Amino acid sequence: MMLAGALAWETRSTLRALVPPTWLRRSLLGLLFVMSAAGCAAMALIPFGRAGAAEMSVGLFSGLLVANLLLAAGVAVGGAAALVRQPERFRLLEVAPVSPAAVTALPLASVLLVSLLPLALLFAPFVVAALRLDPLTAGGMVLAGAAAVAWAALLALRITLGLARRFGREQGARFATAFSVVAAFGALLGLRSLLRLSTGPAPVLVFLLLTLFLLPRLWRGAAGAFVALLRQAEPPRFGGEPAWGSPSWGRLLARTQAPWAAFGALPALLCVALVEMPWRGGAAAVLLVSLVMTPLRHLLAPEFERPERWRLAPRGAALRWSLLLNVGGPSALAALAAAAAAGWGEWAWVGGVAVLLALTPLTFTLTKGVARHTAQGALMLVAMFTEFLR
Amino acid sequence: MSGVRLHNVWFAYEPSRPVLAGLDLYARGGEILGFLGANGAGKTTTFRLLSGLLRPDSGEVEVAGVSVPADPREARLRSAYVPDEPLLYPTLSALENLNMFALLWGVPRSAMRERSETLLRQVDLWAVRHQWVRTYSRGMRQKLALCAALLHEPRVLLMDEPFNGLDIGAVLWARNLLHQFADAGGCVVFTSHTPELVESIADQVAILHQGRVAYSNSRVGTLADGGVLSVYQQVCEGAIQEVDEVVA
Repeated sequence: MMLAGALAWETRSTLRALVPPTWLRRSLLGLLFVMSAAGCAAMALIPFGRAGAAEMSVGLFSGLLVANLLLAAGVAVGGAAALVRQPERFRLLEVAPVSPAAVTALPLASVLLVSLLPLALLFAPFVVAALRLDPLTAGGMVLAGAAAVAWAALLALRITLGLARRFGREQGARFATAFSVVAAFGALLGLRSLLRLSTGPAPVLVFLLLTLFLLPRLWRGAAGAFVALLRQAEPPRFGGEPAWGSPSWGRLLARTQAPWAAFGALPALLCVALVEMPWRGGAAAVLLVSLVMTPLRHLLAPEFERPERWRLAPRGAALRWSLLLNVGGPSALAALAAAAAAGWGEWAWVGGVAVLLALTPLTFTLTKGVARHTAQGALMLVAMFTEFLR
Repeated sequence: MSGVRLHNVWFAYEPSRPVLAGLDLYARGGEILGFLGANGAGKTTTFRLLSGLLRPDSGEVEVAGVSVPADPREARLRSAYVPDEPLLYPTLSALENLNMFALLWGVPRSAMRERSETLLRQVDLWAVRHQWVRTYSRGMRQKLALCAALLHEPRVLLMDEPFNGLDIGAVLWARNLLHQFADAGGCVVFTSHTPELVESIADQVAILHQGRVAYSNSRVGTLADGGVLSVYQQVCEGAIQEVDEVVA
């Protein structure tokens, strides 16, 4: 009973580490996820439903498995990275009156459970549709999907471990978070194509057998190594001599998640640049606006968390403007150049995007969180509607 | 004048529950004032009024001869506020932090490096000057926060729980630093929950209770009254008795 309670608590903590802290951002993220999940499901299910039972073959598994694996790995890496970045929860468990095995299992199990939540949401429509067509296949689908999640969690641990060992715990965790976004986004984008993969039953059977015999052993090894990593103290990190009299925006930015977030946005950038799709202009505008927002959001996060620092400082307001000009300005110009290159000839659209890019840094002058988020949300919405300027 | 002056200050976060109800508090230049009170008594609110983060509902608040509500910028240039949780950048090193704070408080560029080095050497942080603050202990962060506060050479130091997390050596260093600061004509106002620290450091002792200064005396006078702990107990017990009488 105590272990179940501890697991529920750990899962909640893992979930909290993954989701944004404010209700507004949580709602937006939730809405975005539900919309994308529903969109993906509908996109894949409509032709799937029309095809009928004849196409309901075991070959579909392979596609589903790959998509499942990618998506779960994405979410699980995010969870493992959060745990690596803030191992206090793990240390708390170490001094709690639970067995050593539970100390290692609880945080990892919570990561796994958190990975399962979005997956359950995304794949529920497939399972329901499959149950109507072929219950046996649907049962197999669930089994294989669960196995894929277990493999994904293992993969997530190994990826996070490797990155943390190579780059240090904190930097490795950031890299892992960026990877998680790429993997999850890739899975969502490629879902429809992946579902059309038809490899036949043999690979699926091999996969299930491997899961049965190999996975538990591999899990034990990975869990042990992961726990050893969490037990280590974070080695100190160092900065160079400051450029006296100049703010350290560059250094601060390099030490935030902004560069990794940009890396995480790479698939979306490629998708908008290369794939012909409806609302392409709107999507491109949203992406460009969010790329200008990203460095400012990360640089200003410590100031919004502790607003008294700049309020107390006689030159706080001047420094804020220096940040908006020196970081927001070049980002907006770079985004404008990208917009001009992408929308050459569509000058009304480029002009609209330019106005939005100029307004983006100004939203960060709003110190009240609700006002700032509302303004930024409104900018995103307007950016989407620049599609009509093309 | 390098002191602080709060006269008949009223402040409430909610109109029906004033936190400060006619607070009078004075400290002159060259003095160290130890400020005590229970949790929620209004100590941090007083500091936030003195640093200009809050405006009083009524009353006068002056720091180093400047009215804080009338000219908060000048008041902040003349004073330094060190909150209980240091306002440092965790992903910057000690030197990088001091560079940022020097910029924020308008320290001349030519003096930034020299002042930073002097302060960091004084607090024994010079050897770890390039290390990110995130991996500092609480005591090290507190020392660095003090350095950041002293960088612009303020006349008044306002410190909320400055001795939290400091080891004995660091407390001795902080005590010397505060005495040096006061000897040079500066005024220090600090809070602490440790009566022995207040007795050994403060020249003046004030106890805040129910939004007012319930007791104020020199250190010698406080010791003659039985010491900080005894005085605090008397003040609080008296108040508890008053409340009991009102309830009855």
